[in-house]
Amino acid sequence: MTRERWIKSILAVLAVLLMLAGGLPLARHRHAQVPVVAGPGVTNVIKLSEFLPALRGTMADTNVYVLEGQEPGGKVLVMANTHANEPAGLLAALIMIENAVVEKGTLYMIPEFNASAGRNTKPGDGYPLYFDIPTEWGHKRFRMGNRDASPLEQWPDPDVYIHYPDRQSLSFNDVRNTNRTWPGRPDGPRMEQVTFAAMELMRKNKVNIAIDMHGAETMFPVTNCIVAPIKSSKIATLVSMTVKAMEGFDNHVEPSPQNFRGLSHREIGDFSDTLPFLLEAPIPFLDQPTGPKTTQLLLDGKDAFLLSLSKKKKLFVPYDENGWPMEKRVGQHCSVTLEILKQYSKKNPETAVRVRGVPKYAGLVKNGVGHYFHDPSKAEKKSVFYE
Amino acid sequence: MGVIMLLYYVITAFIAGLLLWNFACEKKSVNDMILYLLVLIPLVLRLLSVK
Amino acid sequence: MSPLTKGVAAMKKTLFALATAALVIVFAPPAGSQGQIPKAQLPVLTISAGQSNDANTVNAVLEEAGILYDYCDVPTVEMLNAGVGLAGKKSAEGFHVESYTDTAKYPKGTPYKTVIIAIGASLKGMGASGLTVDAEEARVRKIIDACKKKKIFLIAVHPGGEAGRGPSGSDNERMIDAVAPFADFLIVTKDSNKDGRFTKVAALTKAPLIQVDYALGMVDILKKVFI
Repeated sequence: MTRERWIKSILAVLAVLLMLAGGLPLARHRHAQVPVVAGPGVTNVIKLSEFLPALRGTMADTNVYVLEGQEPGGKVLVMANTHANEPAGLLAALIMIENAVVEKGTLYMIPEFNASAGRNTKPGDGYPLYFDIPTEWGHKRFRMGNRDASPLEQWPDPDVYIHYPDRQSLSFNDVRNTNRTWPGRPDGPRMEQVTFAAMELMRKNKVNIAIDMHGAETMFPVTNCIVAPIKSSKIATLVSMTVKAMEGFDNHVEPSPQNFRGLSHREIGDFSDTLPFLLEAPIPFLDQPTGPKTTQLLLDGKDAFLLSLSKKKKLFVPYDENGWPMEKRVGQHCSVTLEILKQYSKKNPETAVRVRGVPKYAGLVKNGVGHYFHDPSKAEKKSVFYE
Repeated sequence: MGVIMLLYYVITAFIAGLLLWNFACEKKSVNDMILYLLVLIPLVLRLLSVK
Repeated sequence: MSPLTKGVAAMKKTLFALATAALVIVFAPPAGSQGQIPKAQLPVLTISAGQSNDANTVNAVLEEAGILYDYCDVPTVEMLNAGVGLAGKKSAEGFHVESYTDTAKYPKGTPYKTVIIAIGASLKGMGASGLTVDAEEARVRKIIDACKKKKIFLIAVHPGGEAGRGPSGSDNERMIDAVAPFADFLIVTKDSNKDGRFTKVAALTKAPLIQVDYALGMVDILKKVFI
């Protein structure tokens, strides 16, 4: 073999090895499954594609867990992982699926709303591929996703995303962000199809409340809050006051801006009778000026740079050496969700929703998130679903 | 998969092919050989639906 | 000690006692101004100074207390003077009106007896109503002038805590400056008053000041005010 051929062969082998070293973990991540043990309250598990068949067979299709109570009442849609790099919502939703029992009304739970984003990664920002939650029976492993859907589901991005139907110009990558594609359309790009399917779920089932669980940086003013349009603001305000007084944590109310289109808290309210609420819990992991993006930072939120910034009053949350652990974030989501149901039910007794078995903030901070997950290896096979 | 997305995969495959051809034809510059392979990696990962 | 010296000493003691008594009388708050809950009358209008969500907090508290009210986020003096029903105005973009006053008891057009102002600045809220900070401050001052002319009882509420405060000259402080010194009654959370700002205002104006631990604590206060 000539020298040139030797060099080319070695380089080709190195390139293949590099592709395998980089590509195999990504491929494994994309197809990794997270088992969910459906709790006693789950009466049915359907697919989002039931509301838009175009999603069937795609990575964008996702499970909808239905928890129907004995007594008819109001209907609530709870979504998580609209942004799959904000996992507190996912964990809260899974805790509800595994533990909630609905006495009156119906819950529709979509823990992986942007299923494609949940299988996307952000290695260029040093994100870990997985994180583990310690439980009483071992570690439960979750995929760490990305904010936007994978280009493998929806490609290419436009230069500018022209939002439907108002034609507001949004950032190019927001076409893959399911918190910018509401209300969606059946023949639009894939993520618009996802949000359209969710709108159809709400319209067809006459859903009364929609709750979208998120996380936001500590350096961002819209964090540690409930974002609500005018029609939801009274309930949001009562929830905010009550959790502060009775459960001891802050959760202020942010008004949903009328001129910023595509977000769930805006479009769900404008295009249906459903009352939308978007919940933000602080997630220090997403802040720009932190140390390395480790799973430890994701779980406990402790960072020396953020602590320094906090002392200079640059953060929008009270941040100290204790960070902002996952237990607090998940606890906030669970408590605020339960309080929204309670305050709504007080004002609307005919369409009340009563749920039990979901832990509140104090319980999660005391017992940890993993305490509420059940061991899939010990559960009946028909109760185990995969995300 | 829409028509435009399919076309983008075709374009990607075409560019990957061009890079492989250039790599095969390159006789002198080792730097250029490395460059062709590095640029090829993300295109291959996209064609294999990995990333 | 000579009788003259004794006399001077006694006179000095008397003068000192008189001076102390005078200082106490001048500077001590009148009986009942701190911590006492005054009575106010219906119908009541709630408004915002700064366009933050604190106006919603006040409305939510009134509803929990079972008190019916009218609300407008950016009322004009004409709307205030129009009384119950706010001249029939309807909500529009950047302009929000709600009317829950019991018109069987207080027919449309009944002059408001009480105005509750929720103090809290939000650039987002002001922007949504098409207002700058300067315009909002000017608007609020006009409303307060009108209330004073009509002898309407003004209740200023600051439930926003530390987040609703700021350095001197900031938007939040400008709203406090525009409202608090003219209020007949101040209700604030303890967090809002950590630096004693509202205590100082109340001491100067002699308006009663109530501090609550949480915004929810205002429910009982407002029940006592109106019922």
